[in-house]
Amino acid sequence: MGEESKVVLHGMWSSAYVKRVELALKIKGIPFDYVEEDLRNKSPLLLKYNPVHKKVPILVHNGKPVCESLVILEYIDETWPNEPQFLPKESYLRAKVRFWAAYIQQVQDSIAQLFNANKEEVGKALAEVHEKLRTLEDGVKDFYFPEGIPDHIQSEKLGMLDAMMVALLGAFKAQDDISGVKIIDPAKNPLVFSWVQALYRLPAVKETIPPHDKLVGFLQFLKQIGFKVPTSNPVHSLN
Amino acid sequence: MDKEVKLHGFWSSPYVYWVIWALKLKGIEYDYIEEDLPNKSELLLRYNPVYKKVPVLVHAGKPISESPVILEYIEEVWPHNPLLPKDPYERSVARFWINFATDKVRSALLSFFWEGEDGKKEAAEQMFDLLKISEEQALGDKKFFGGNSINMVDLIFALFTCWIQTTEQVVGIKVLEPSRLPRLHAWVNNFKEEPIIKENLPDSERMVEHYTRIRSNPN
Repeated sequence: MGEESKVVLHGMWSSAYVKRVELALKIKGIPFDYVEEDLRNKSPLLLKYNPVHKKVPILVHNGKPVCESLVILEYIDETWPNEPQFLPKESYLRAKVRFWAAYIQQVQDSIAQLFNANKEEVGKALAEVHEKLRTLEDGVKDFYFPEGIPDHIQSEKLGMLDAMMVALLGAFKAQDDISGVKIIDPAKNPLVFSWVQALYRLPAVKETIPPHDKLVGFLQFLKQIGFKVPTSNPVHSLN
Repeated sequence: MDKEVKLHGFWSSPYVYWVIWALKLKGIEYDYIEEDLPNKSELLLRYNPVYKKVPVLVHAGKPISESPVILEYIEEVWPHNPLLPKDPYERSVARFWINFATDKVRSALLSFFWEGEDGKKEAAEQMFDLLKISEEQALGDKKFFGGNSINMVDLIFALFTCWIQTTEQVVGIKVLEPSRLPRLHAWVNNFKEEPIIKENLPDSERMVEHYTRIRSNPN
């Protein structure tokens, strides 16, 4: 493989957004080099490849950078059209996947808010996570799991929403440890619980999720220094 | 009123215009249903239970919500007069800027709109920074974001036309000035002169009146 056709993923080991892409590349069987970026001391290469946001993940293919995790996932699907396809072939189903992919971003924000919450706010923040997961469950169950959640999801059948769920909740044990609550509660969100369990059984998923102890240590450190995970602005409408 | 494509919208919403422009640029016939936003129709609530917002596109009875999702759907189902590049890399660049506009520009515009007397200068400066990035990195020396002709990126950046102009008037601070952003300013005028766009823009006086009222009375 020449230099030009090399695939390089610039990432940071604990970032859910990077995990989405990492898993996508593994599922598609695309060989890639990985460059760990120090986000407190951004490299000249990072700043060159993503001058607008200065963030990871960045996928560099043929020397050209692609930024923003969902944009990268669509790029991967179009450039390497082999199975599995992240997006379905049929246009209406594609629209549904894109809609719910955007919704998962909102769930990501709620989980970030849970991390940021102080003791008094944790209950309310957790309730919001559970409620959003319920909305997600209702929205995807008919079209994404028409035959119910399988015990085992085949890696050849993984799609965009699967990759995003792994990134979102794959590290839920560490997240639970840090926030002191149960983020994935089988009583509150049985479908999400089964979905994540099924995904966890895949070797590709197990090796992509950040190591538990390392992640707990890191999140504890962030909490100690008062770091707040950035969330999207809650927006009034512009109507 | 029985076309295969229906659009539920609201006359002042930029997100609705994105869809209107895409449909008209592709010559797709549709029925338009104006929603009375404080009193959303049963149909809208059924079609978009998650967000309860416009626009909603209904194609052969199937509803699609969220304007960027709607635009991608339109592009796929009616691929003539393409609004996205064919090359996957070029598409990723277009989608990057679409994301930038729908996320960062939209948030900054909302902040700029809603900030009170104390914060509005800073909100205006943040808005300016995004405009500068858009001018230098997205537009560059091209006539349009899409190159020689408009594409989906231009449609989304139309937030920089009527909506920023209205906000500037309502808030009382100018940010998109020809002296500070010459290329972007030129783009605004070129965009508004494009056929189809020109005939489908909200009335500026009505916009100022509408948004002034909203700003002083958020409910």
